[in-house]
Amino acid sequence: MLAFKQLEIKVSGRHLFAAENVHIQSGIVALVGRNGTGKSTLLKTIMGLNREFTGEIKVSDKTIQSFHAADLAKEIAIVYSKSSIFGNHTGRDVLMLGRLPYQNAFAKETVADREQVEQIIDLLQLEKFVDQEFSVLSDGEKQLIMIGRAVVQDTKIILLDEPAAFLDLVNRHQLMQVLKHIAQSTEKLILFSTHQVDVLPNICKAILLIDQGRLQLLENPKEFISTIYDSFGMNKIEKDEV
Amino acid sequence: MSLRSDIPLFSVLIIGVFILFWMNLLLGDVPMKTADVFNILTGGVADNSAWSYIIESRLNRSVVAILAGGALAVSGLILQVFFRNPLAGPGVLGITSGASLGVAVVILGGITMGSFLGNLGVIMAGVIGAIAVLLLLIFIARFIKNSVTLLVAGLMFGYFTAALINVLFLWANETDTREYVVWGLGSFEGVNSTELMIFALLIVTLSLLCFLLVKPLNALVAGVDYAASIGINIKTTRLFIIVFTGILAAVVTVYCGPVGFIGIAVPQLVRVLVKSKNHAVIIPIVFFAGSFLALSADFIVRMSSNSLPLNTVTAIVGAPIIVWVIIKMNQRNVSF
Amino acid sequence: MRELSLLAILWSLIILNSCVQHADSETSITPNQLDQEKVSIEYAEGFDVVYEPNFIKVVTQSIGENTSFTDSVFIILDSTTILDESCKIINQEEIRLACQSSTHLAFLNELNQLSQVVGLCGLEYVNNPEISEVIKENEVIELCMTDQIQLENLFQCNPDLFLIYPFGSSQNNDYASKGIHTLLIAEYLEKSQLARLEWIKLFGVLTGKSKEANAYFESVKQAYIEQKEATVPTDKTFIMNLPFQDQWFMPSSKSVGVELIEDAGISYYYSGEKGTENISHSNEQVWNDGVSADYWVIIARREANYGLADLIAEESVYKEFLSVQNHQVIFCNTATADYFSKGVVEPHIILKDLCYATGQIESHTPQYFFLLE
Repeated sequence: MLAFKQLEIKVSGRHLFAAENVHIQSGIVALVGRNGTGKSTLLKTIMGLNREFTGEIKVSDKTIQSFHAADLAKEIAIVYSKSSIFGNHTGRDVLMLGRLPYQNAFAKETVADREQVEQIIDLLQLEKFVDQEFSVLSDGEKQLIMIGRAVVQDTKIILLDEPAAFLDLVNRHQLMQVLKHIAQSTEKLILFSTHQVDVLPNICKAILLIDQGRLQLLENPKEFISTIYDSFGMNKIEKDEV
Repeated sequence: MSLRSDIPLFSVLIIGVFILFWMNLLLGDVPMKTADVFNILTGGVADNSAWSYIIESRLNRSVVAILAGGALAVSGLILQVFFRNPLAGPGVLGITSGASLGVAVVILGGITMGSFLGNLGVIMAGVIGAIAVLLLLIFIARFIKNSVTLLVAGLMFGYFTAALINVLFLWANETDTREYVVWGLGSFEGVNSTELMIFALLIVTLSLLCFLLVKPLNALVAGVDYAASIGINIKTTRLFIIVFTGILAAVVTVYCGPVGFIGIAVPQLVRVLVKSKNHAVIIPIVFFAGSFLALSADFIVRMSSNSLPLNTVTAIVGAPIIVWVIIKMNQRNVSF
Repeated sequence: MRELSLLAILWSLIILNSCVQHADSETSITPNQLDQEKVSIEYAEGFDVVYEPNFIKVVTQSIGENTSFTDSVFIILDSTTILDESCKIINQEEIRLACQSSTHLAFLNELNQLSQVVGLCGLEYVNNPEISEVIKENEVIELCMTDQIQLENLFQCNPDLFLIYPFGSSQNNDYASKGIHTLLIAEYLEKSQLARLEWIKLFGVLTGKSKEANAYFESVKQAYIEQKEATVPTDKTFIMNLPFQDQWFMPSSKSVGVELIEDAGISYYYSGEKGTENISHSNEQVWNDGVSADYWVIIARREANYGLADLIAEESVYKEFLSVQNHQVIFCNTATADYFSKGVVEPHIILKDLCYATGQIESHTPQYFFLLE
């Protein structure tokens, strides 16, 4: 579904990280790495918004360069860690934004668009607050709406850039349950970057780890934590503390 | 939300514009019978040979008000969404000032607006000035993420260009200075029928072109990053926004002088009133709301025998709307 | 308002009394000053000249209700006379004058006293070649930048007396504390053309040319009254001026300018409108009226060869005006004619111009107003 081949990503000419051959299938995948290793840059690059890379990124077996911007929006959706809406849009209005890539030049809403939105409201149980104004929702509710919007966009891949960064413990937990629920009920690839690694074995089937300029795919949930701690040099610190 | 829910608002505006348009034609310092006005409009002759000119002038300034008000409001709407700031508008961001500087250079340089070439020169200069300021703003916006700071930068452009124009006065002769000062007061009056054709052509064409921005604007309410993720080409969008809003504001400014408040107040008000979030619906509503406000302002100006300057009236009507919207937004804890 | 002016008069009386302190020693009056012809005021209400044994007091005061002031200067005839320090004393013989208005120059020029002027506000606006040549020769100093008095320039030319308007910033400046004597001049507030002209007497007193001033006033007065009496009143009407954006500002029916034109036998279209303020009308009102007004008197700054066609080019409705159709647009181009300055001392010529334009007199060479062709 998403594949990297001989990928090297740079920022302002500086080498950030490289990946040799990585192939990711549907399901939940976490993107882990320390601050500044390039998690956000990777997500941006997959979105086609960063052209500074060599090698190949393939979505549905086509390189991302071969997509027209409007067509790529039908393949990949994204959720950022914080979002704000300019205007008095309701949650439902925001969900409808996900249908934009499919609409004509006048953004005419079709019956199908509305049905799609209703379906996602049901799927993610957003009824309680979906008709309130987006700007008055809590951070947790806002994030659920934005995830809903990404699902409404009806793409094979959903990227999430630290979606839980501004959420409290309960909301984080809820968010993970929602992601799991989406993964179970659809055939999507859900790739989210995070710093909260402890919960990953229960959620993810794989992890993309960026460390020391290298991107690697971890596919054995039992080894997730130890591999991450090892590469971050954390085990040593813990031993010292004991 | 369905389109249908905004039909009452749209109808009220259209009817309001229609009524004001006729009031502007029928009422004035020179009292005329409705029959006389219709007679003149249908090509008839009146007892007083000046009346046909008076009706033509009333007609022209009403059409100018409708187009100029609409253009300023649409330009303000697009800028507010693009800069994600309800206080943005052609006036606040200094775009009008840029156009003024262009006009000042041409007029104070001694070219009068009367001739066709002079006209074209002034329009070009105004457009160049407006777009130059917009480009500068967008350049600065790369370094300033805080949109309030950006507005302050826009205000500074305004002061800076005003200062430059004052410097230009030093070299200008009395007649040119007077011509510029008169222009600077702002008015929908004084556009003759030939000029009106050019004006209408430009405004209508550009306003229609703004519909190319429907999807980008719908997406941009969520910010540039989200807009890009739903397939909006940000570079093209930015270019279109600069060109369309710049030319719209500049053309109005060249013909009517710097007209304030319509560009900020109308989009704000409409955003509160309108149900749809689709700019294919919002753009025409904002246009006619702008026309409505401009016509009302002009009607008040005319009822005062032209003794109230247009900008005084737009300020009296517009400023309270802006303050009201700001208060309303603060109540709902919306951050700019 | 009345209380205020009463107060002002009382106050000036107190000043007058406190000023004069007679020395005990014998007086020594120069013969030249004794010989001086006195002036008496016939029309003007804005100034007065009071002759005392030892000095002459020149008083200026407001006319009407819009402003209220009195001001005075003293000319000492007897060198032993001691006036209070607060009194503004000037010497007629070699007086150095600074003027805020170029109108003042016209009076001085008529008395051949232009050489006394050392400073002026708005040098570039002097468009009388005769005057501007003298100004250049005498190296008169520019006092103003964009309507603001430049104090340094004022000090540089160091006038004995600075003639100023009673409005705007010139009033607020505390010139006395800076050692500059000022005199408020409001000749433009006078209610008739001859009263305005009579101010030449004030300039005569200030520069010791009372005789010349009297003579000039008398001759112009005679000429003016003669022409006025020879004029046959008609029922023709006139409108005035050009619009400023979409508004026409026309003088009030009581104004000196309108009175002068009416003396040429035509009547103001808006004479029914009361008040001393300017009349302001919208475009459409004047367009409506222009169709029936016989004459159109325009005082404006335009290119030298400005004609009827240029006027119509400014607004096509003008071709429907009766005055335009009958070639009865009476135009004064302030770019070429010194209407605002020299015109004040030549009302008799202006009246002749107007009478010639309206067909009252057969032969005359117009200097200010002529019919647009």
